[in-house]
Amino acid sequence: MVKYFLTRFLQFLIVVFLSVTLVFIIVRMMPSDPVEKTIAQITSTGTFLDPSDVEKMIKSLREMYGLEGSILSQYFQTWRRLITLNFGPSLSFFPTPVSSIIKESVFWTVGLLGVVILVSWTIGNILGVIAGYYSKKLPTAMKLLDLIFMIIRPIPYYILAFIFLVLFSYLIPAFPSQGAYSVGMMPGFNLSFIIDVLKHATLPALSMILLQTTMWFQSMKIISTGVTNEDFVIYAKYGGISNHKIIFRYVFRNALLPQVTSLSLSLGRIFGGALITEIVFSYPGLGGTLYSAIMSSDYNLIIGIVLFSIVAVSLGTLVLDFIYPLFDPRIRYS
Amino acid sequence: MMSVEVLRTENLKSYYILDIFGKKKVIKAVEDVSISIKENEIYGIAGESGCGKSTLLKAMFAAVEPPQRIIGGKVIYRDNGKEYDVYHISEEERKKFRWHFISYVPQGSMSVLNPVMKIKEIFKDFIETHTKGKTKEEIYEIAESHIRDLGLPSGILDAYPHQLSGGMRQRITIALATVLSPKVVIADEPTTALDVVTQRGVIQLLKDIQALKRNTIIIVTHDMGVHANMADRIAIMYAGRIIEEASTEEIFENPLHPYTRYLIYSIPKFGDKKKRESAPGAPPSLSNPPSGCSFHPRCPFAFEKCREEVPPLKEYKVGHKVACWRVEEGENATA
Repeated sequence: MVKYFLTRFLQFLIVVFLSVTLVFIIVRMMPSDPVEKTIAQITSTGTFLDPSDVEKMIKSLREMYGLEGSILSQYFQTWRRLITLNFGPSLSFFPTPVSSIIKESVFWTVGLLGVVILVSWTIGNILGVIAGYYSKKLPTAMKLLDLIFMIIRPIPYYILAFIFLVLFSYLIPAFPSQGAYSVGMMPGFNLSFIIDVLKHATLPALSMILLQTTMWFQSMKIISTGVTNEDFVIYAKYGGISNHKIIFRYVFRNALLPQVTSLSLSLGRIFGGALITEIVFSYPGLGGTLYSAIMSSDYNLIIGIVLFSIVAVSLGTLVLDFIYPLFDPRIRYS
Repeated sequence: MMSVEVLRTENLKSYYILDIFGKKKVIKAVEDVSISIKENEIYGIAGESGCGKSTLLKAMFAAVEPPQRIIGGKVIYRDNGKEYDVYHISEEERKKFRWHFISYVPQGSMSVLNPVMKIKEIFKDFIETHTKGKTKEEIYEIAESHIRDLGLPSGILDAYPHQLSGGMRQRITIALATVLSPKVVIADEPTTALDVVTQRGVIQLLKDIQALKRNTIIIVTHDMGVHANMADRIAIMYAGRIIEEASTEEIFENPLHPYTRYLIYSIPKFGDKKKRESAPGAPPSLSNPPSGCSFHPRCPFAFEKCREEVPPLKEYKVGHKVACWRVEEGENATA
């Protein structure tokens, strides 16, 4: 048991170490130099710069980007930035520090995706296990649900999101079409603001929940169809144990194990996956911030977000690994 | 002593009806089986793999799931002097018989224990289903005293299945099936996949339970050694039919059916260096059984009548039934 936690923790450290190192190397192998790119951007607007000023500018930019000194000291610099969460100032929002930009957008991302993942995972798995258990004689309501999910599942998310936007924001103007809260609203912990935030989050959340529920539903259905044919389920049926007990105590608890694993795998897709949502619904978040950082070559912000998401995703996986023994006694007692 | 009947089948027929790409395929796994099992006896059913033994058990336990189907005949349970035709009562009533009256130790019972539950929770689920208004503690108490009665360590109730050995899991499954003292216990190949020492322990456990609870055990295995060791009476099954039925001694000492002889003479004995002979050929396909006596293609004594007519299961000696034309002819000749 102690060995299990220790190995997982070690794995976490190795993953973070390797990916940070990899990011460091890849960035330095890029053919374009961020400093030259910034200078070129400034000069391309037609601003005249004194060559000595340019020289000074290059030096301060190098310092700002952590590109000063030998490769080794740059490498240690990267680690220092990550540990102190001080990634320097952002260029496109100069002089706002990168860390405060991340802090602001990560709130919306985690809030939205946390709810989406929790809700869709729960609903999808519960419906999936019922459909899987009764797969030989599926009740009509379940058959209909299965069919609907089968149709929804292959729809690309950006199309589904647009359908939601057009339907519930334009044709039936029930929900706002963009932003995280109304313009002119003062963020604060009061009822009217919270309701406003929930209203704005409804469409992005619902569209993602719908699609991800179908995904969890279908994989859970397949897994629990298999578990339903296991000897211990058949024997429980012979014993006359009630169906709902068999579904939740026998099928669900066993079929859940691979679903916990794929949940932790899906954490990795969080930051990229929310990008389309953020663009379609103009919702603030890490994905959109990263996108605009790339578009404006905001070097510090890109590195900041990438390093941050590496640590966040690995940490999430680590937490899931740590609670996994709660689901599987075979690990708890090995 | 008049022994009382506890379970009976009448001309039971159970087929598997498969639908393979729109083509129907019928596997006649149990064909016209009529057996009568008495209270307090150990009844053995023997036969090669694929002769319909497990199908017969499932039909007797009334746990028939598609593609298996009951085509005809009856299964009668006799409980407290009353007879119940199992396939003419509702599913709910049928479930009430389980564990109280009849219970089942399945084939490959290594994997019948839910891997994510403690043994005592599994016991609780089964006991709870069949008893009313008992607290959790009372239920655990029932499980614990039963485990202790069987001489198994009571600590295993707190274990998870993966922490136990295969033999222990098999014994736990037997304990689970007998926890509510059913009148009939059906055991399907309880010793298969166990090493000989563990086999011995499992057989002993079944015998102990029988001695303790005075119930009926129906045991199915292809292992004639196990039958010799346990059973009071033995039925030999071939291609879905019972072809011989007699007391254990009678079967071993005076087998009448040629197939039974092959079965018994193939058991190795100490000091006997003669070459063992088994029945030539392979068991017939149940989807397309041979005409007449289904053993005739492999029988060295087969004659014209064997190929044309199915021999009836007839009692030739008290308690010794055989289905064989040759025995019938011999009987007529001596008469």
